[in-house]
Amino acid sequence: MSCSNAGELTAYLDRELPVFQLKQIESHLASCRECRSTERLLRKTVVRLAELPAFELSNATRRNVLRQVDEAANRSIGSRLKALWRPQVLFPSLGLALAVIVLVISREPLELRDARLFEVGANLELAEDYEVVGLSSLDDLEVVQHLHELEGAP
Amino acid sequence: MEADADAELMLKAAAGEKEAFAALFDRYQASVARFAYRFVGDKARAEELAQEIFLRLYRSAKRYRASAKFKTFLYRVATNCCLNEVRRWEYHVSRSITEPGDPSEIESVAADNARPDQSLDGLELEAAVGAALREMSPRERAAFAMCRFEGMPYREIAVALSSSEAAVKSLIHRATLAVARRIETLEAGTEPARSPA
Repeated sequence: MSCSNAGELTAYLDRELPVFQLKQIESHLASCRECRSTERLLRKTVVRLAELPAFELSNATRRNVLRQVDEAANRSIGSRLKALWRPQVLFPSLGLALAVIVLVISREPLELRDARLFEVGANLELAEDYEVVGLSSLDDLEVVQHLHELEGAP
Repeated sequence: MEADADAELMLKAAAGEKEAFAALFDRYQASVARFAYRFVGDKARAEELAQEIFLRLYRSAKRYRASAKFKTFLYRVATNCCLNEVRRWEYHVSRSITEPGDPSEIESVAADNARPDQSLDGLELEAAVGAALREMSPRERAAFAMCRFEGMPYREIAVALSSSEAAVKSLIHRATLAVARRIETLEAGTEPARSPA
């Protein structure tokens, strides 16, 4: 294998050389017996390789691969859900959720808030009245409830 | 067109669609099995290796970008798995070299693959190619298998091996010549015996 073109013969056979180089090798082969012999041997080898018996995966291996992929996919979903329960994820998430709730509540309509305040104020006033008068019977309760009317009466 | 379809299937697999991965598996399992078998020269190991290659491919699906050709990506994963397997095997053999039975295990490719429907020619050819492959460097073996059995162009093999096209050209030439010499020797040794007197 002394010829300097010998190293190009496989690429020539595989048509992996630029066109000008393919032509160079072609003309070289016409004049070099050694390279012609090597090229013939390589060509024959490539043809013979196609005669090699096929090898295929067994059905068991095929099933096994798909089963393991299935398991890996399920594991990945499970681990993603599990990751949500980690303290470094859970606590910030809860904090954020709480902040959102507070924000929503604080943005309630003004009228609604006023109505609630009015009710709270009225109840507070009633409670104060109960405290002042004191409750010992149902009649007292009725008196407290109508205290303002009584106060307004002449 | 098919390459685009493969890339699309791989992206779907990365998004968690198991059916997309099953379609890729159906399409490439024969090629991967053949590649693994030519690489290790043993059916049982090739089955395990092919399994490992597909699982590795599934786990690395998220790293796949559609800009890379799927087949090249697949053979990159396959080559890495095969190289790791060869290293593991060499380590295993070097540790148990004194145990009886190892040499016969290494030299038993033809017997291991014997099937009643296979001609002696096929078995001899298999043994000769197997012996030549074993004598190659793992990168020569990978380049040779991708070129000769999977019909991949040098450019794609270079990407799969993270190498240059010039280096791949050299690897494939050396490997093909080594196999050619083995087959030549086989034919020179057996032809007279087969020829009628």
